[in-house]
Amino acid sequence: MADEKNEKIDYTKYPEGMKALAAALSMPIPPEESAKREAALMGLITSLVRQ
Amino acid sequence: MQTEELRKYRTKLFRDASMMKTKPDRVPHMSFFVTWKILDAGYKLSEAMHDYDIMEKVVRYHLEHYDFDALFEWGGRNAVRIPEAFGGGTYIINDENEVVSYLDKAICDRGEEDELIANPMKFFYEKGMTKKYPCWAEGSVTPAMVQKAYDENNAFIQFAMKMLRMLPEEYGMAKMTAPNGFCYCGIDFMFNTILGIKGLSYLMRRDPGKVDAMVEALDELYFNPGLEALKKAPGPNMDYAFDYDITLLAHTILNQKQFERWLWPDLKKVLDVLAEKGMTVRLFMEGSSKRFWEYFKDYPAGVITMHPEADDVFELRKALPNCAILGGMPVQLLGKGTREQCVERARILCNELGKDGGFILSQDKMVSFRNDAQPENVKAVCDYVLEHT
Repeated sequence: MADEKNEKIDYTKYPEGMKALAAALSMPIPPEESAKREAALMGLITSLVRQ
Repeated sequence: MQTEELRKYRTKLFRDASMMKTKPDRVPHMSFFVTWKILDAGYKLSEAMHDYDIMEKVVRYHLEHYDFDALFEWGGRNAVRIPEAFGGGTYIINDENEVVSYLDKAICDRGEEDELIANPMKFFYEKGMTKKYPCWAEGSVTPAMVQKAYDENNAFIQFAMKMLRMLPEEYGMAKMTAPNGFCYCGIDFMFNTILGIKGLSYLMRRDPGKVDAMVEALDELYFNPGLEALKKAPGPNMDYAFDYDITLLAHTILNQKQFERWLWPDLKKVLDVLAEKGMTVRLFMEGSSKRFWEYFKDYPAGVITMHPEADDVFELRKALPNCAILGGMPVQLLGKGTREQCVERARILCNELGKDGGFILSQDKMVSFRNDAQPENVKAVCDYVLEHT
């Protein structure tokens, strides 16, 4: 997991925080497929918002 | 009957009843039991809802003690572990009183509607998460915290897959709904999550144009892609009890005019596609749906299976002879009545509504609380259906 030490990133901002978060998470999607990683993260976010 | 043979037999019972072309071999019987299952199996709500191994035991207990043909709820109704992993959530579990409460917790305050209309995803990410999760509001969120919720979400998906395999493969249960996606109507999303009951009621009166714009923005994100996916479906999938499932809540606060403006246009689009393709849908409308029945009267027989919660099923059959009916067994009776009264109600339902087919017996409400049903009453009704219909 990268970027955890980078205190300058505000992960709560869209889209920059979302993109950084998607890049930092451990997922079964390769890092180069950033659009898919971001879609997976947004799926989680909308699920969290709904629950 | 072997398990797979039993599954196919049960699936055909549902298909015959819902498609209304052939009278089923007997009346199919669907379990609409939710958290009641946990208490009936001897567990606390919090134990089962936080432990998938216990929840699996709960579901197995239900299947092994009552002879249903399909199970609507497989243990995943309240996925509390995912939001809790992130320090939030909308459910309150009270083991002492054996209840789960759902908070009417809106994510869009008055004056924020235009932000949601402009960019719903940005709104969910920045405002929605802030309203629901303290770490987001404080700005203290880290990738490790999100990773925990992501991993919990994956654990839930694994559990769901396991349970949805177990039901047909080990117990011969009919599989409920074919994987044809989900059309989330914008107004229902606003009612459930975005504005809540209070906020939506207020906005519909004060600024209906804003409601139009919000429905449009949300539909673009969820409803329209779901509808496009449904349009690509090849047609009826006879391996499942139903092709589609719709649960509606927002209509409970809508009058006729509001229904026509904000819910019916979306609902009609889905029903029209299903009718064109000859596909079936279980339509569960919470509370009373009676004032909207006229909208369904022109659909061909065998498309809509109505699952009424608070309306009289005999009246429904007269008003909508083109719709199959699922339900009819009052939770009130299962909880407070005698075995004889429950069996008599089942007998009347099966003989009258099921005499020419088009009827699936089930409970009228999601069975949630301990006093919603006495185990011996549930067993007596299950046995009656198997032996006498």
